[in-house]
Amino acid sequence: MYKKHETLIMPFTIVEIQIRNELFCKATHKRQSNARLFPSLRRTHPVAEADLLKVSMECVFGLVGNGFALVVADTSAVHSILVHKSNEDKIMVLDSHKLIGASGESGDRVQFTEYIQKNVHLYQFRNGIPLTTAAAANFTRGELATALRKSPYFVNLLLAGYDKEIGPSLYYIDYIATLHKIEKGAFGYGSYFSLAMMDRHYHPGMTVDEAIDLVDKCIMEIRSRLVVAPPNFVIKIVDKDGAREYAWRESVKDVSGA
Amino acid sequence: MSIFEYNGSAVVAMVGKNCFALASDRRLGVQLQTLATDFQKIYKIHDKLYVGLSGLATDAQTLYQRLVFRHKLYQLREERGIKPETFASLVSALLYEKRFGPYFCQPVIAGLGEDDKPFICTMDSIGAKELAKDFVVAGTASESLYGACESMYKPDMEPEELFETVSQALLASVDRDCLSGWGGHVFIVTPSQVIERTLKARMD
Amino acid sequence: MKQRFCLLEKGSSTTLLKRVPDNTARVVPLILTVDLLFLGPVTKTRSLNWQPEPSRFEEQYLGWENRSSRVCLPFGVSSLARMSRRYDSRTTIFSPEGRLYQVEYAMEAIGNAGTAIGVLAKDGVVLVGEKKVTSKLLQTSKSTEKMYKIDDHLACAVAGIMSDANILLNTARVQAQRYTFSYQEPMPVEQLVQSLCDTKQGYTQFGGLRPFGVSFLFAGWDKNFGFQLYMSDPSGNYGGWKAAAIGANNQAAQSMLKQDYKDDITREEAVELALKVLSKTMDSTSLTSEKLELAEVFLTPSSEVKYQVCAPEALSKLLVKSGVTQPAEEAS
Repeated sequence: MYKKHETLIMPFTIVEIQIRNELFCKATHKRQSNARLFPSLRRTHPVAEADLLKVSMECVFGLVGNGFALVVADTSAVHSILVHKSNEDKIMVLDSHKLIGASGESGDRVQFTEYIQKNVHLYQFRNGIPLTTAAAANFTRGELATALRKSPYFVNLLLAGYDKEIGPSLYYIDYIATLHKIEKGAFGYGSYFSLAMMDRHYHPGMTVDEAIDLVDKCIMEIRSRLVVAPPNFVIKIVDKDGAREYAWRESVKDVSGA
Repeated sequence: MSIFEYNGSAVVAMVGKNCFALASDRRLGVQLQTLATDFQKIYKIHDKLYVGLSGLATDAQTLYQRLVFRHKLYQLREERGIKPETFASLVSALLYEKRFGPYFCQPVIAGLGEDDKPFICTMDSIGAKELAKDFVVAGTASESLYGACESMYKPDMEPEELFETVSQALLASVDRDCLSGWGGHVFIVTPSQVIERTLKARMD
Repeated sequence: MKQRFCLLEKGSSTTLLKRVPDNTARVVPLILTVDLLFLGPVTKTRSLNWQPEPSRFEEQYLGWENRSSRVCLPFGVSSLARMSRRYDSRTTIFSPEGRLYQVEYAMEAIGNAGTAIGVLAKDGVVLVGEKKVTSKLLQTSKSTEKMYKIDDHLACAVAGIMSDANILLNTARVQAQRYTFSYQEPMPVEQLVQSLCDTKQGYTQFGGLRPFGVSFLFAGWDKNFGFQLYMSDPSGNYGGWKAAAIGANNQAAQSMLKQDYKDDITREEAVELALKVLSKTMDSTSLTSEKLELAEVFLTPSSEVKYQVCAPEALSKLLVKSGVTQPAEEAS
């Protein structure tokens, strides 16, 4: 199986890699056809298979303030040109003091975040102590990295948490399982606007009011500049009192009323 | 674009007199978008052994974690730190283990061996070692790093001079590479001390 | 007089053994002799005219025990020794009193090993161990014999069969590193102890296995519970202790510790206490640094956990200082 596609799989020279990536680019939104063209790729190279230009239309971003961290996510469930739902909650409360905001393939997103949530709970049941935010982030990264080498996965994660000794923290985990501790971060098309806004207006030690003000600025920018801007957003916050929903920013009501 | 250029990186190791320098840039990006400018690419294995991991950041992290795992067990069993040469073979073995689905990562290993003799080495993503007496480079800025090091390096530099040389080479090189830069991180390791410095650089 | 028969089946051929007189005094006159010939390869026994059916291994043991006298012992004699023989050959079978004899024997084996004592102090944990010098010719290893580092924040003292201990130590180290690999954090002490004890427990439950003949004292530090001292035995039981002893004379040591331990003692006091107790429970008259090992787990001023083994020279000085050995002896 390896021999057949040898030149495609093995990154011996830059030329070969370019050939491979060209093929990926052509199949950017067609993972199925990609796998059909090169069946061995899926098994041998899930990391390489991940499209290099994978940006979702979703908007997830977060920041760390003075004694709290917050995560904001759009609430649209979109498939191709269709909006299925505009009140889909993409921020999961991982445990009493952790939030995980996710974007990406909706199936992967739900499955993966639930898997992590259940494992974090299991750890607490077994050992009587909760995982620290750093440990939970590293665990999540490890699980994603392992899963990624077995089969394709597409979830971007922002993990916010509050620990008694450490305070609030925010971790960036992208779909290929790169982990980094950040003060502010974003995923998806919205990131082009929200990152710019946060670069301009963010400063360490923001109060909740200042942070929410910045979040509103980001949302406004996304709504006014992004052609595929989602209408609704949810803001969740985590501080010493725990993780909770903070507010919604809605411009349309969901017709189904669910 | 190659997957090695997804996050952007520049790593360089240079040998001095009974010491070595290992330096990297600090950028973490997703192609042209910069996510962070405080990303660690040089990791400590033990007091006299460091490894710089360039390439795809996620694989660098996985590889580093696996290396720590293996080294810790080695250390407990042998009751001593690993020799740089041995460690290079370990890295090589771990990389080749994934021959048909490699870690997209080019490591640079630098350490002080027996009698505090400096050892530097790099390897490709499937573990082919490349030893050098003077300097080794890796990452998206490797071409310009080669040039800069080639013209600035001289043998048997003392720690402070080595720091100056490696820093200048790094900063000059990342200015010609749009995927790396945004600050530098330098380690100078001598038999008696380790100097760790972060460099300010142009942030564009 | 009633007669009992015993049939012993060896392979396919069945042999009738000699008749034996009944001990009429017993309610269940279970009497049998086994011809020596059939001791080894006996596969199955069948009984005639009696209940309950004896354990298969019982015949072997009884036969073996009585082969010289050829006198049979009635089963009903309720001496513990005999009861144990009946149920101890398998680790996984409870005796009628609800005991697992193999596990108890394993603990017995540890009773012959060198003593190890652990004392929990407010600013660290102290472990001392007695090295058994079996022969003058034996090359003493440069590293420690009874103390092992498991991870940067965790160490243990061993008493028992060293070959068994090595296996467990390796699993413990791998376990600790696996945790660090997953969470990028040091493994909490109790979790490590628990995982090791789960391994030990497995060997008391699954058939055909022998329990590990090792007891451990674990000394460690973690961010949730600070300094901790745990003791575990071959059954897989463990518990947290302020001061604990394993190995030879552990009960004497334990009661001495109970008497002399005070809450909130410092590490120096803990060292002194441990040395004092060890000097009293050890067989040899005076303590020397060759027969001893001392290790400590503590926090450095920069709040890093450190495991430190006391060098022989420093240990000799400590012994003199704490008065358990005479300076004159050092000189000689």
